[in-house]
Amino acid sequence: MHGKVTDSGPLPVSYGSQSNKYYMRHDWAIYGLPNDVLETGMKNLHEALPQNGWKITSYGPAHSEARQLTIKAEHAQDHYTVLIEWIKGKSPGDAPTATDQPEIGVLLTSPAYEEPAGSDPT
Amino acid sequence: MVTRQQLADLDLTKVSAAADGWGDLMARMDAARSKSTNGIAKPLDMDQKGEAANAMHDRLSQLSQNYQYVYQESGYLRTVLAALVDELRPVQKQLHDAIEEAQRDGFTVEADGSVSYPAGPAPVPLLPQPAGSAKPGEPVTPVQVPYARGQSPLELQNSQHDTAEAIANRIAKAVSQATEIDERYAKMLAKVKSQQDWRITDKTWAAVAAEGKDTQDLVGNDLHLDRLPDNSDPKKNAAWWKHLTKEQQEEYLALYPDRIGAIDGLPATVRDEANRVVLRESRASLEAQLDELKQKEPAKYPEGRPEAPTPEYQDWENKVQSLEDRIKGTDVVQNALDSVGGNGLPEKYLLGFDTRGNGHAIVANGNPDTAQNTAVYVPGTGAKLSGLGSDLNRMDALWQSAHRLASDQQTSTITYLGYDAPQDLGAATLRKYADQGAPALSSFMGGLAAAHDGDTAAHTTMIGHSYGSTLVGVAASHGHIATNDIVVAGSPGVEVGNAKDLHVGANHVWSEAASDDPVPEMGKYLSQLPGNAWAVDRFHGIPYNVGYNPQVPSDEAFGANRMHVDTSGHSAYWDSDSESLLNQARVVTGKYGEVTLD
Repeated sequence: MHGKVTDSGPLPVSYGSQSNKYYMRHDWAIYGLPNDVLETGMKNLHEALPQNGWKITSYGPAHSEARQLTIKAEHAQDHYTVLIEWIKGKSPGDAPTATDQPEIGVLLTSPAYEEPAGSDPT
Repeated sequence: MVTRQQLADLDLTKVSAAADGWGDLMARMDAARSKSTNGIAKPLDMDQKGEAANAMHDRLSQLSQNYQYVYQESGYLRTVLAALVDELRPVQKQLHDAIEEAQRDGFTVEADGSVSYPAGPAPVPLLPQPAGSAKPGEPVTPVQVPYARGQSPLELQNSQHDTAEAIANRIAKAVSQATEIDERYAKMLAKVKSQQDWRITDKTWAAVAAEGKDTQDLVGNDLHLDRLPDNSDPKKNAAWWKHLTKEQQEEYLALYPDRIGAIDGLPATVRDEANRVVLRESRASLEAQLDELKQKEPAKYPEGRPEAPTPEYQDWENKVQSLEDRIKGTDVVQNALDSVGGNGLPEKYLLGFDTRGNGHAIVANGNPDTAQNTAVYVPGTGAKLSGLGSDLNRMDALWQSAHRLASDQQTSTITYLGYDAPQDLGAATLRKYADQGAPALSSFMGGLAAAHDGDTAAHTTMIGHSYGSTLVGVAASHGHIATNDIVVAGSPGVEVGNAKDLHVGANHVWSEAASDDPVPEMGKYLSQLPGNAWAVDRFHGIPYNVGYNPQVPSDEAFGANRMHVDTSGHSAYWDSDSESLLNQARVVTGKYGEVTLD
């Protein structure tokens, strides 16, 4: 699948100013492809994830008006979690200014890490 | 000491041109600083790692600071030179007029400044009128003669003498005024010393601030600057700024950065420019206060009784801690601005900054004036400048998700710490912090709307966490606050009992509350914060109460959209694996259809 990918990188996110804990978070999407291609992509992901050490924790429509197909999974070994959703474009409930762009979004999150006191993960 | 010849010959257009030259330099320094921060440092940061990269980053950061320093100093010089021209011009004119009049009357202005007049014509009777010379300040002896008034030879001679003397007086006055002006301005220009090396320190910024005050006193009115607007109407403020000339805008920025940075309705780039200067100057000022205070440490314990510290010591210690805390706060903000975003994060704009109280800051990811989607996040209890790092961090994460959901649109996520948040749970039950903070928040939102680019659609969402939601609620219920959607997370109450009373439409109000977040319950039963409504209270669908009772946004009866939350506790709405944050991003980008609901 060769589409465009959003330009972003993993972000450290802290658990609050009183805490040394943080996690890594990366939310990106692949877009610029028609929905039938994205549909195939979702099916492929659903099959490939378990083969790569991921345990699928849910697969089905989201509990939203648009019912976007969502895969949630957790990696058996390093305990990263992922939320993958296929957004088909603008749904009837969206704001008039919302984008109409179909995409597959991938939200990857790490478990919590502990920072040594005084250092800054950014 | 200015000489008459110097003043007469002075070409003021050259001085004006010099002032303009400094103005040009200001513009170029502005562009250079922006380029070194965003155009060079940022892309480098993304590719390089390690010690060498850190060293490079430090150098670029120093370079950016140098550009900013030259920008400020150029502004100062430009203002001073322009004021000099303004003061000298009328004085020079006085001199020129006096000299011209002397020439017309046939007088001669001597080298020493005295004005000599030739022998007058012989009136009737035929007495020769001697030539004479008048020095300024000479007494004139009146003489009685039997001639018509003004016609006696002596009177004629005296009247020439008087005229000559008057002219000499005017010349002397002009020269003396010019000398005073010259001395005054020489002192101001001397303050701009060149650095030994190019390390700009806190002392440097303190000096810049002091110069700024000098020029304010001097030229505020002389340059015919319109008065600053009273900041009560963001639309008027926006119009006021647009109607200024570029020179006037630059002068305001140089003279009043703290005021310009706080005027709602001004472009984000302008506020950012101004507040970055305020940030540097504030840190320098706080450091100076701390140094001074540290030299005045009182005795900790009273004589011979080391049980408890003296009140003087405790007071001193509180002051020291407050300063240290605010200095830490300025560092938090400075680091955020300097951390040029690897990770695809956009430029940051400092829309507000001051060190009053616990300190305030408003920081935007991406320019809200050109963004289609803007989020304004208001943190809650315990929020203060020194702890703002985690709040800024959350808005980075929100930006990334909103950008992912709408990559073909521009997004801006703003952290708003423009109010004094209650610092402990006891204080957080009181409404006064929200009441006091609401007008400024309303004005800020109005300012975003007024400054927004007219050709781009604008969709705005406010996100209030905990007490921040109360502040948003008070502002929204009292007037029509400029927002399309309101999200509240862990809300203890928003002053009204029903979502529709927030005036954005009940279906544009979104609530997040973790099932084990105690704050909504505490707010509902133990605080002043919620509003009341006639409602049936239900617990998991089972009605247990009916009446005119406090309703918080997580109550079904309140009528808000209740978004799915997969985190636990009061502060985790932005935490790991958080669909809570993703739901916020969905509202921010108008993707309401994709919001997962409870």
